[in-house]
Amino acid sequence: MTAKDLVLGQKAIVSSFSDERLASFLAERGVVAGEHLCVERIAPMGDPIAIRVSDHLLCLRKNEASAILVQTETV
Amino acid sequence: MKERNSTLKVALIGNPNSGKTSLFNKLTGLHQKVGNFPGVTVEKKTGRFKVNETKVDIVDLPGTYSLQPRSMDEKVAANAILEVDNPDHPDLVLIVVDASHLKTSLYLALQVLEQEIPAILVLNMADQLPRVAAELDLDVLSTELNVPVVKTNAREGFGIEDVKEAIVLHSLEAVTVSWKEQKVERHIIIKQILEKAKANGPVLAHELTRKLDDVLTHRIFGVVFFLALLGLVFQAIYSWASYPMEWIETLFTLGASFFSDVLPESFLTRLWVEGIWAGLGGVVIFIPQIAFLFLFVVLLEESGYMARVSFISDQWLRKFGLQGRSVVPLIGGVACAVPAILAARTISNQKERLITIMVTPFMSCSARLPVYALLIALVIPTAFQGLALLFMYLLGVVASLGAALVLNRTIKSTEDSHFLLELPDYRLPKLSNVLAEITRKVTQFVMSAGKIIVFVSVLLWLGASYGPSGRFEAIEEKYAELGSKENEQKKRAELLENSYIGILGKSIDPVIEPLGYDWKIGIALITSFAAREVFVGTMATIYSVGSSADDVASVREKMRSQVNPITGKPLYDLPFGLSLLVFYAFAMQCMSTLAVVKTETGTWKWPMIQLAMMTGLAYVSSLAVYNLASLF
Repeated sequence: MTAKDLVLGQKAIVSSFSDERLASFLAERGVVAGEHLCVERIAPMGDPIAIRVSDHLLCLRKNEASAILVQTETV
Repeated sequence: MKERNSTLKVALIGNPNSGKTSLFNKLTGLHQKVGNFPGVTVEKKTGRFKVNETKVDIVDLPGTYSLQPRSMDEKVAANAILEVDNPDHPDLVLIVVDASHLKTSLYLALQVLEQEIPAILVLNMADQLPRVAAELDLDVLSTELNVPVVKTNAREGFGIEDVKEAIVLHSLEAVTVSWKEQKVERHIIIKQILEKAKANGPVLAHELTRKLDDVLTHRIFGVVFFLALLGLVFQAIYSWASYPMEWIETLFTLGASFFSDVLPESFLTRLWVEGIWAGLGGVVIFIPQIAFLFLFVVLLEESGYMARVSFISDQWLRKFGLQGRSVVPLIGGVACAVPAILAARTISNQKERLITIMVTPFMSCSARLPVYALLIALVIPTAFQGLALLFMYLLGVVASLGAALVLNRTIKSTEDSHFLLELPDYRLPKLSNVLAEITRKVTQFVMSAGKIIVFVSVLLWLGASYGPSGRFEAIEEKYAELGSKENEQKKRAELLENSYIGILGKSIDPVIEPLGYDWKIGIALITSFAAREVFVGTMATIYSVGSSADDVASVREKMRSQVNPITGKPLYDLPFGLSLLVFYAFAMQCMSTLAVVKTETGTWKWPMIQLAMMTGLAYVSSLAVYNLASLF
C-alpha cells in the first residue's frame, strides 16, 4: 500500500520507498521510514494532497505519494 | 582594545519559510543590496553591519532543504557552503531553523555542521516553542550538536543583538561533530538529540492554520475565495494604481515644460527632455502598478496563503506545462508583464518557470487598454463595445494557455517536475518586512528595465527627430511663413513622415499591407515597439490633432473620416480594426518585457523566441482575420 491509496484523514506509518531519488528528496523534508503520516487535505481536483508528517504539513502530487510505501495504523 | 581590520564573512542558510529573510532584514537594516550570484540569475541579497569594531558582510543564501542541490537556487546555497574557494564561502555560517519545525530543519543543520566551519544555530520563531516543545533544553541541544544556539524571533526583532554578539564571539571556533564517524542516518541522530533535549514529543497542528485551511482549501469555498481575491488584486492594480500614475504623469509633464522653459534651446536640452526624461517617465509610471502587484504577492507569501493557491490550482495548470505557482505571474500579467515575470521566480522547476515567463505577456496588459479603447470605439457598434473588450481579455488568456501547451511539447527538460511544497502555518504579515520587500523589488525593476527603456526611448526620439539631410530643412522652409497652430501641427506630421522612423514606416509598407494597414499605422507599429500605449500618441501626431493621449476622441474622429482613395469607402473599416486589435493582442511590443525576460532567463535566446512567437502569431492571425472579415 502506498500513501496515494490513503483516504482523507487516514493515518499510516512510512515503511519504505519505491523511488530512490524521490526518497532522498522526501527525507530532507522529514519523510523517512518509521514516521507517522496522515492525509490532512486533498486539493479540489483530487490532486495534489497534503500530508502531516514529522512536524509539518507537506503538499505533494499523487504520483509522488505513490512512491511512499506505508502500513496503515491499527487503532 | 585590539582592532580587527578585516571583514567577517557570514552566510545565512536555512529552509524556505524559516524566517531567514526576516533575520537578514533585522540584522542589516537598510544596509543591503540585491544582485545576482555570478553566472546565474539567482537573486543574491547581501548586506553589512558592525558589531563593536568588527565589520560583518552577510549574504542571504537561497532557502534549501539540503546540501544535495536540485534547483539552481539550492545549488548556489550548497556551493557557498561546500566549496572552500567559493567567493561566498563564509567565515561563519548562521544556520536558521524554525523552532516549530525543529525536527525537519535539523536535517539541513546537521549537513552544514558536518562541514566543520564556524557556525551558530539560530532557533528562530522561538515564540512557538511553548506550543511545540515546551520542555526543550537549549543547553543540551547546544552540547549535543556542539554549536552555540541563539533563540530569536526575528519578526519581532527579539534576539537580534544576541545573534550579533554570538557572531563576534564564535567567529573563530570551528565546529567539530561527533556523529560524522558513526555510520548512522541523520534522522536517527536527530531523534536521539531531540530525545536528550526533551523535544521529542508530537508536534500538534497549529490550530488557527487548521481552521483557516478548512475554508481556504475547501473544494468550493477555497476556489471562490481565491477568485474573489483575484478580483480584488485586479481592481487594485487597475483602478487604485491609476491615481498615483496620474500624479506621476503630471509630474513628468510639468518637469518637461519646466526644463524646456529653463534650459537653453539646444540639441542637449531636447535630448534630455524629449528623449531621456520622457523615457524615464515611461519607466517610473509603472511603479504604482508594480508596487501594488508586489504588495499582494508579498502579502500572499508572508501570510502562507500562496502555498495554498499553488495547492488548489496545480492539477489544472499542469495540463498546460505550468504549475500551481504560475497563477500569480499570469494574473499579474493583466496589469503589467514586467513585475509579473519577476514573480515567476517562486517556481523552482526551470521548465515550468520558463513557460510561465514566455506566456505571461499574452495576458492583456494595461498598456493595451488605450489601444483597444481607440480601435473598438472606431470600428465596433456601440452596443457591442463592452463585449468586444471582454473578448479581447479572454483572447489573451486563451493565447497564453495555448502557447503554454505548445511550449510544453517543445521544450525538453531533464529536470524532474516535483511538487513537494511545505504548507506553512499562517502568519500575520509584518508591515516592515512587506515594505522592505516591495522597496527592494521596485528598485530592482527600475534599475534593470529602466536602463533599456531609456536607451530605446532615446533611439526612437533620435529616429523621429531627424531625417535624411535636406528633407527637414525643406519642410521647415515651406512652413516658415505660415504661422498658425494648425499649420504647426501639419508641419510636425510632415516632419515625422520624413524622419528616419517615418521612412522606416513606409519601408515596411509591403509587409503590413496584407494586414490592411497603411504606412501611418506602420509608423505607429514601429514606435509602439518600445511600449504599446505609444500607438495612440503616434496616431495623434500623424493626424495632427495634438500629441496628448487625452485626445483619444479627436484621433478617433480623424481616423473615421479618412477615406480610401481607391474604393471611396472609409479607410479604417471593420476588417482593418479587427485585424489591428488582434495584432495588438498577440504581438510582442514591449521593450521592458523583453529586457526583463533577458535578465530573468540570463540569455537573449528566450526574449528573441518570445518576440518571434508572439509577433509571428500576431501577423498570421491578423492576416486571417483581415481576409475573413473582408469577405463580408
